Amino acid sequence: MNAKAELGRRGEGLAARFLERQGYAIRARNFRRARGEIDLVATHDGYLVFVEVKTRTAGAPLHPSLSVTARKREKLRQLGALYCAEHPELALQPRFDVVSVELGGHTRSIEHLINAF
Amino acid sequence: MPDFRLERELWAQGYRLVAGVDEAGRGPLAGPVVVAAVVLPPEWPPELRLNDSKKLAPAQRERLFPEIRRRAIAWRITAVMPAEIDRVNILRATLAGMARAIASLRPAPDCVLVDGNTLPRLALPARAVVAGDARSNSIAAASILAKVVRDRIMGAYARRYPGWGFERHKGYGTEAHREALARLGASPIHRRSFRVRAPA
Repeated sequence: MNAKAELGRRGEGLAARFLERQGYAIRARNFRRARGEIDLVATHDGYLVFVEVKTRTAGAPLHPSLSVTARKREKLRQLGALYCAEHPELALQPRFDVVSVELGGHTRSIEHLINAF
Repeated sequence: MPDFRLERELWAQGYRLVAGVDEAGRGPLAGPVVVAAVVLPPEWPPELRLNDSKKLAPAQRERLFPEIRRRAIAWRITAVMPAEIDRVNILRATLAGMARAIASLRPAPDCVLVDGNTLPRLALPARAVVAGDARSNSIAAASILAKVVRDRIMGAYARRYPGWGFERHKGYGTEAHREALARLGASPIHRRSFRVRAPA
């Protein structure tokens, strides 16, 4: 695994743990279909939450939750619809969140943007 | 350094009033997102060099702020408050603020340059410019107006809601801010749709 993929993996793990502590039930990690993938799928409080995890090292210029492009949002929406179609038993309100994980030398911060787009 | 290259392309196509649009405060955990729209005149004094608000010191932004308002053909600043951000989401709140700022410009622009990768819904020709505040003078001017006004708003909130340190971090998720949040809980201006992990 290259360094970037490794960083992304670590971020996803930390994001999943963070969400679980907030009471989210993780249903899938790396939901992958031909069009791409959703990092995390969780349920919480009547919502089916599709989570894009953005991991970066400290000091990157752009706030990670703001770097989800229109194309990526559209792709996530399509994947989310696909997930819903594959799980008709989940009669939940879909929602798209972004979790940003910033990994510094000894600091690590996690931000969760609920209903990001 | 930003310049008038993008504006000039549009002027050459016959557009007269080109508005630059930018926002401040999409990322913070608290406070409004502030949007500015500015139509600059085609001549801008070189000694009042415009730049991306993040690359200017606060004193430089304060010096440019009245100059932009005095010299602009039109300018408008709007704030979208945390309640609306939580209701519709930060992306849509920002785009709604942009649409409002643009719609209330007088004289009305005939073309728009918007910072970022997403355009608001507009009845005007518009172009999204990634890193636009570092490329276009009009967007840079808008970024300065938005940033200065947002900092002032957060300064006022710092007095009304002392303890969270808004005067220092302006609502951004710094370590000190996250510590204060863990200690004090959310203030009335915290965005409920932004959650953070308490520092370890």
